[in-house]
Amino acid sequence: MKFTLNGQVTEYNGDPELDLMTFLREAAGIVSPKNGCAPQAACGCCAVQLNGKAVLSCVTKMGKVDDGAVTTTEGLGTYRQNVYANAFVQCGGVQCGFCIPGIVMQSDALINKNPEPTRADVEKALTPHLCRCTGYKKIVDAVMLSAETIRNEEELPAPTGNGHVGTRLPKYKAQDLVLGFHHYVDDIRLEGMAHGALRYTDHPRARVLKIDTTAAAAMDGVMRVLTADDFPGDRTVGLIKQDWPQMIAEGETTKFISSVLALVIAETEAIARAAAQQIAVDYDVLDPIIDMHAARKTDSPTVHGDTNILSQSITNRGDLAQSKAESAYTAHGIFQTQMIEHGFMEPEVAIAYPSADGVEVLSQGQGVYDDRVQIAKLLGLPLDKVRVIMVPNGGGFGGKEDMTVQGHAALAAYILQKPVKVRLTRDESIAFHPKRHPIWMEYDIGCDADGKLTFCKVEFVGDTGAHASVGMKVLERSAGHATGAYNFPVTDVVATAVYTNNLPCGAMRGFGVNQAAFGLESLIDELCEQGGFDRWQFRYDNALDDGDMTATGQVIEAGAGAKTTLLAVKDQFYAAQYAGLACGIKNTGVGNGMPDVSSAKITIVAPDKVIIDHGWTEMGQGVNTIATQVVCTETGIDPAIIEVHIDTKAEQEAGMTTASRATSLVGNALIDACKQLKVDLQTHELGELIGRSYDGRWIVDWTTKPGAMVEKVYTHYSYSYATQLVILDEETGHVAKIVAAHDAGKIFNPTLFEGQLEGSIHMGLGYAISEELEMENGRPKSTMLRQMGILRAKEMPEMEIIGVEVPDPYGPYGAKGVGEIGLVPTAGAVANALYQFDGVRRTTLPMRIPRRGLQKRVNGGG
Amino acid sequence: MKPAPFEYIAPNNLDEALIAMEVNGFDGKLLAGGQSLIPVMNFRLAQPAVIVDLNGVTELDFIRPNPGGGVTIGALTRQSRLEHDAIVRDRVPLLHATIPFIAHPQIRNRGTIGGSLAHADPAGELPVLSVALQARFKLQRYDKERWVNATDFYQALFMTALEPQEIMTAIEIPPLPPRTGWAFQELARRHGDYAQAGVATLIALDDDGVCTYARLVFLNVGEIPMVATEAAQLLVGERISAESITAVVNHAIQHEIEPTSDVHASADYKRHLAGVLTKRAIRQAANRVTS
Repeated sequence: MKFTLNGQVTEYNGDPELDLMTFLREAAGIVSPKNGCAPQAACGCCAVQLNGKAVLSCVTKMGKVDDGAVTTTEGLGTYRQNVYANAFVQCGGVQCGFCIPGIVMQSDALINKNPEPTRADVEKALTPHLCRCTGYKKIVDAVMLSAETIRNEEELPAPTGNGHVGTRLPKYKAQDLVLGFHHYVDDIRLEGMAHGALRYTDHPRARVLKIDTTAAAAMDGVMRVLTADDFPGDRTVGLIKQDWPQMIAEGETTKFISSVLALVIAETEAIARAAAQQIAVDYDVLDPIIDMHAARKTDSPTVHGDTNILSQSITNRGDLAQSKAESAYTAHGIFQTQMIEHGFMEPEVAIAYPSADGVEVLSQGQGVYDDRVQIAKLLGLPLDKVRVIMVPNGGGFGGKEDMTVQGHAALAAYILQKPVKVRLTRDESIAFHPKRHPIWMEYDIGCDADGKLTFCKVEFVGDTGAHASVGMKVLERSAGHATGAYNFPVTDVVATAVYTNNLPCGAMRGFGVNQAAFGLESLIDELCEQGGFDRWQFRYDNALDDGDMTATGQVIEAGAGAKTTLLAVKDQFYAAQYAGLACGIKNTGVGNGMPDVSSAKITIVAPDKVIIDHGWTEMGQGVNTIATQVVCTETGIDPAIIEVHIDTKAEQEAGMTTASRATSLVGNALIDACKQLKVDLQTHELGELIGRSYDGRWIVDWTTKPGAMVEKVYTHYSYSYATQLVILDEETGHVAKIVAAHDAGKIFNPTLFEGQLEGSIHMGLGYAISEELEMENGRPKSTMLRQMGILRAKEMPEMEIIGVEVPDPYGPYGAKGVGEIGLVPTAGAVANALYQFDGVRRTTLPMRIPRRGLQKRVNGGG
Repeated sequence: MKPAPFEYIAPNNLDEALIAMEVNGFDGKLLAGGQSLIPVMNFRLAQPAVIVDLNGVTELDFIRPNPGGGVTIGALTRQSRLEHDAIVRDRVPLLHATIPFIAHPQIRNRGTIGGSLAHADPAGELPVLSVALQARFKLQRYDKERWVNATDFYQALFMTALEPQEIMTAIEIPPLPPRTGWAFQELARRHGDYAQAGVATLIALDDDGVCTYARLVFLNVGEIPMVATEAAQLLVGERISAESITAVVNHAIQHEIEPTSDVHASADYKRHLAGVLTKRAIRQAANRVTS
């Protein structure tokens, strides 16, 4: 058969059942259509045009392409390529970029059919597409701008700027992201590269009696089958607690449904996957431990060791009994939140290849230095024999902190002495990486007759699943933020993380704080109703001020921005008929006695080339852009000549890109590095400094552990603050608008700031009303991305982002983290708005709103 | 007449069809065999803005035996294929025997099982059979799917449980209980016309000829397929006799059907006709019980 591919006549005589995406990516070498979920047809990342219509190439058979014309971004022509690339960059419509090439092809088809689309037309056309970063608003802006530019036959120049902090510097290298020319790990092909596939357990909890790999090893094209015995080093790793064996050996018990038993390496991925199915395993099947409440009891079987209690975080102060007795009003509630999937668009993949006496790994993980430590341990190598290179990834949101396939790829490359790629399909990804903790919580809070909060007592129990990951830190964060953005004189908080055989739960944007805010903010409204207090004024009167204490007893010395964010939404709150309010607080930096460290290096390579090396992961949020802006602001260097690298070879130590801390830490480290550079630039031209490097470092090692007996509690060095207002449609009760007022200390880049918050609101609203990954007997009920409840463009309400700047004493230029706080208040604000509408107090997430809308309560609202 | 203008979308596979319905469900209609939709569009009784043509979604054309008995049938399977299929003949003889009552061969060559079920014409044979056989329907939407029992699917005249964006993709028909006989009876003035009334009957008898299970579902004597639950219950525990049949029939036609008069027949005539057909059907079904 023949067809045209980007205008070239192409012949194809292979299997007509092959999907077009595989043909394009593997045979034709066109990698702009991204593989986000094939063959689930859920994400739209692989969309191309067939005869002028946008189709999902992962489910389009080659047989249907016969005689047709296929177009990818490569075939759009220079004019349209430039329009889309510049429009998306200018509007901030691109973050991680993984979904954008597909969206460009869909939008291009729309614009051809309808040169003057409305926003609703664009949102409708984007129905097959998911974006997890942007909240869609800026994508729609970009499509509208593209349509207008094309309609008027105008040029759209590339946006530029001096890059100073506070300006809308275009996102670093983002034009390539828009057109799909950036190579994510899965787009990289190395000479002689072999492919791996994992064989998982068939049961969440079973003793593995025998793993028979003979049939798999004998298959044509199979190069090697690796099992637990093949690790030269210690195969059990973990970010904090070493409890995650990268493979389970015969005689051991599996931990969860994606415990790995073997890795097949073959010439092609298809052969490797087929062979993995041929591995026969005998089990002694055991009942999985699935209920965290039962698992806490001493008579429960255990997942690891002799108890299922992973951690307990306790903090308290004051006399609870007395405070409770003296309170005029008290509110009590039991809340349950759900497990959800991160839904980053790029599934996990790693490529490893042998180096002289070690191994190098291309990773999309959130912490290349942590990857390195763990890989070195698996292989029994010193750290300097392992190099991990960060390839800017297609979204993380916490879900790429733990290693999934990096260790397996490294092992195979090291043993076979060949490049090896291991990637997860979307089904595998959903069943594998750690999720957001389902948390059960029982809250009691009170206030006096004047509406001053008196006490907060809360117990959190979180299901951390099969492996610790960072579960103890997530529950610690719930405890530390249990009192939200309010001042409670008396506290009694305990948070417990419990092992089960469910999917592991770990880091996810918000990190245990979203759950707490949902419970607390619901009860704040209850107190208001009981005492007849105004919901806005009550919050304002109790919001943290400088000098007040957080749940852990830390005194906020400066930068408390909660009240300022409340003021920012005040007028709209009173103007709305059905509205819900919630405030939020979120730490910047891990703190709690763990150091927050960053170093960074600036190297002058040429008169027109400056390299910044740092250790933080670029996952769409824009840390490379932020790094560039700091150097531009300090030194006046043109952003156009700056390159940013993230590679363990540069030894620029950083921890996990987590805890909303990358801007704060990389900013301070680079300000430090610029000190000497600024001095040198006073006496030298840039060209005279070629070959010189400037090192910078910033460290906070003075935070204190929760419960530590210290004179002064410093749980975190910085916090950010927010208030969100959710306004409902007056007829149906659907969410019509979200106003988000956020204190970022200093807004580095308004475009990136809005992008972080709009994306967070998308995730927070999904968390509130639709997202859930349901488990049944230790297995996910579905591994279909479409069924995770992630909101689509046409389901998003209007969003208004209000930036507030109350400077932080430690942040660079006063900046605070904004990566996570955007979804801390959302669920609580939605719950409070819904209560106003129908009088129903919701205590479980998600709070599904029927399509037809809700029944208004009688005599209520307003 | 000709239809009002509409946008035509022809998806190549189910995923594309689901997306098309997700986007256009509220102003769109699915086109399967088109034996009802095209006439009503040509008469401009329906003026959908978008037509999503399922005929390219060949993955919905299948007949699969279920491991525990019964069959699963793809919604796009043509009625004529059901008429000539050995799996359907062996496993769901009631369905196999009833297909020839549907219109004419040319219509059955185009008409699909899913289209007829979703169209929900109370005079249609397939809705009645699906309720009699306690089938379930798989209803898929882009981001979720669900199974709905035929008995819950039909809600009112031409109204079903289908959401605007949903597509019926499969029909699962469970096996009949052992020792169950079946019958379908209808009367139309000319073969192939819509019947004035009809009934599908299932009867199970034990070794002594005592009825252990009975099901009566009526065609075109109400807004939806009418199930005579109470009448059927009267037969359970009884032998098949003139007296027991009369009691059942009287109860069914007096209390459990709601015929209305139309140009083809009066309500009273339909009620009478339903009784006569039910008597024949119960006898016929009982005679088909094999040990």
